[in-house]
Amino acid sequence: MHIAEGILSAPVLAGGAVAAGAGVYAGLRALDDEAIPKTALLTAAFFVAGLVHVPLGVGSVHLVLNGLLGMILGWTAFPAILVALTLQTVLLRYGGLTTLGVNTVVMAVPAVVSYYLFVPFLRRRPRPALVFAFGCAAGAAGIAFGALLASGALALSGRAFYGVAALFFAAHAPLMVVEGIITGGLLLYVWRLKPELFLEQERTP
Amino acid sequence: MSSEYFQTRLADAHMDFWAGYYVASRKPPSEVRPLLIANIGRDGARPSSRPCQAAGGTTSVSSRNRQETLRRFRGTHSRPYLFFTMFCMALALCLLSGPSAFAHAMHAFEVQGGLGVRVEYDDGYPATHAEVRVYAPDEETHPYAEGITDAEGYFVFFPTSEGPWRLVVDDGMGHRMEKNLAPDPTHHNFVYLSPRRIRWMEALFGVALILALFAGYGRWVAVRKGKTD
Repeated sequence: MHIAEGILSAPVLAGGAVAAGAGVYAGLRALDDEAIPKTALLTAAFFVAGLVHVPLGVGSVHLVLNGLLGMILGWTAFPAILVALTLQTVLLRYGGLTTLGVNTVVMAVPAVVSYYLFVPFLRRRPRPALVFAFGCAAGAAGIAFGALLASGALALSGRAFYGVAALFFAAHAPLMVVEGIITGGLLLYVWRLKPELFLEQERTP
Repeated sequence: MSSEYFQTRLADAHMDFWAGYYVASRKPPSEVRPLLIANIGRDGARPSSRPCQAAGGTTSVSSRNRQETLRRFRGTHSRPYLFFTMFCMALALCLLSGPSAFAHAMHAFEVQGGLGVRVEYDDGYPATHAEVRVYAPDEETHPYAEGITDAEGYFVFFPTSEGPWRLVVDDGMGHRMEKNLAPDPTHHNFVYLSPRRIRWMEALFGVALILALFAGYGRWVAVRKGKTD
């Protein structure tokens, strides 16, 4: 899901950078002092998850965890993902420096969407089985929406949207399952440990 | 066309169909349901366990029923239809056997060597079925060779001169790389599978950097708040 250098056209790169900048600004406004350690830990988790290769399907497929990040961090997922992606680019050569903006948008927008979609359900204090189910849905949706956005970015740079999207979904279908289960498990764990993470503070700018 | 003609033809056709279906399904005949409608006389090829099986041209179903069935078959099993079917099958046979029958002017020789690459992602997994374009030296636009990597990420081509040959690999999902290759005459081709690796050092370094960065940010926020308060 990390788009490399030399593929996207200049307007798409610029648009991605602007959108990512706006998202990071909103995320930093939403970030209060007490949330900094939590954000740091989840940024590190996102960074390391990118190293975990999922040996299913074709292509380079690894964990993303953007659904989980979104549910716990809300808009703060934007700066967290930007930082993690920057380090992945510099240290691991994932993606590229010019595509940082687009890649941030591709992974952070689904995170914010999963925050708005799934956290309201958590506020109703559902049963643990339902929490797990929400986590699964958020994990899978994070990947699916990210694949859709990445296909869109490639399509805007002159590729056939359906071909790219079909390839993306074929490659990421196993990941959606794996990531769904992992996100569900982690969400259930965090929910049992510290439900106030989801109940108390709003994480919107 | 007499009805006698149709009865014979249908019995034959039924038998053929039946045999074909039996081979394809690999079931004992008693378990296979015939594809054609059953209540036709003179199909001795059908298994004896079928209730409406008939011997020697006698029928076990009513004559009216049989007439009705035959009338239905006339639509799809008329003589022009059969001729057309056979024509199509003959044509398909010709077309399918074409390359071996007509391509006498082509030869294939086994070759050894060539310049090969293995394309893999950063984590050591092969980039399978990725699009590869090879550009000859001093050529920018028209590729010398195009293709895809195989299931293990390999791609081989045969350079016609010393390089550098420019390789552009694109997996269609946003990963892309360029590499200049210079063929080395003394170089033996070998199969190289790099170990799947997790880059612990980079991972640890990255995590440490992230924690330090956020610690610094928290400190900065605290200091700024202390100043404004």
